[in-house]
Amino acid sequence: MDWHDDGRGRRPVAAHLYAISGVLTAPASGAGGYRPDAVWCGVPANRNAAKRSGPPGQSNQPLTPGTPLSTHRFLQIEAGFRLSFQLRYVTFSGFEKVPRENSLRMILQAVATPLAAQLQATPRQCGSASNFEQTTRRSNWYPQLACTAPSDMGVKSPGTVWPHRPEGEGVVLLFERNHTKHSKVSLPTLAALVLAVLSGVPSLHAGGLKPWVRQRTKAIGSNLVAAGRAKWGFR
Amino acid sequence: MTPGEPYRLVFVTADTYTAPSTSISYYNGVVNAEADSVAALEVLKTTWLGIGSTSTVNAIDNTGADPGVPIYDLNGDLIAADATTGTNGLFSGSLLQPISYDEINASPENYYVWTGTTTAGAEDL
Repeated sequence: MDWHDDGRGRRPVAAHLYAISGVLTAPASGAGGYRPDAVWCGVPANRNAAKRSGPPGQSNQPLTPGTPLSTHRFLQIEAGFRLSFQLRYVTFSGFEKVPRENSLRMILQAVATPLAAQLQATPRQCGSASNFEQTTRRSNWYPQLACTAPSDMGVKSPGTVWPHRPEGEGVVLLFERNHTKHSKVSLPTLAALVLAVLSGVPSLHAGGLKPWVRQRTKAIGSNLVAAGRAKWGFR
Repeated sequence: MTPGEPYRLVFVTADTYTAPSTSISYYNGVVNAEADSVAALEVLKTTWLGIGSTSTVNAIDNTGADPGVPIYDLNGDLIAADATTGTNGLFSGSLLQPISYDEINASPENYYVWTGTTTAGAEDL
């Protein structure tokens, strides 16, 4: 122990410590665990894997809320492509600080299960006009979380509320930015986005998510940052 | 990094300590407790070791050299080629990147770190 004198007497010096792990092994794609270079980084490889993993327009394995991500191998492979895609959009739209994919992976591992449970429990709390507007005004970035969404999502004007469908069909995560320069999305919110993307967008290859995002982005400029749709079959 | 490839992780603790013990096991216990407080690290089920020395234990011995096993911080940055004194090693005298991320992937500012260790991994008390 060292001491220092701050003018009011000698006090012990407080400092941090460095820690190093034992030897870990990089897991196979989708096998869970933490990889320092992130499973998701290899976009070309992941894109190919995504193409091979299932026929266009079909979800390979819907993510069941509460089910560990590690059991969804195909989804994680596909998610690599989707996540990278989404993050590029986020980055291009002026995101101030985007956690790297490997950080997101850690976040996902920490929040996926409780978040899935939360989404499952609250799909109907979002989707009304009042809720949408309140969220919009309240934060720089807002997640339009757990709104039920129509299957034929098309171009809508900014601020349009997705039709509320009590029977539930999916989850929409919508990040919109106001003009505050230092806007940041919270990590749980970003994790929610990733989780939605992870959870399977059946129409990705058939022109669902990707063109939809493009349409939306084109339609309203840089205001819309990213969107994803999950299909969990809320009932 | 390919599946099955070995690696190690490093972080700087978010909390600070006054280095009250002469036992290396105390510091190993501290860093394990901090790591296991984070779910994403706890699930790794690995043993964390302090990169530090006491009068009887050198850091390079405490950490284990594990030649050829790269070391990354929690931000994904390559810190060292391994925990040896070899080229780009943790105890080679320089790091590829400073260890500046804590267990929650935050980066403390203006921080001091107890090591009690020379750049070659030997005790320096």
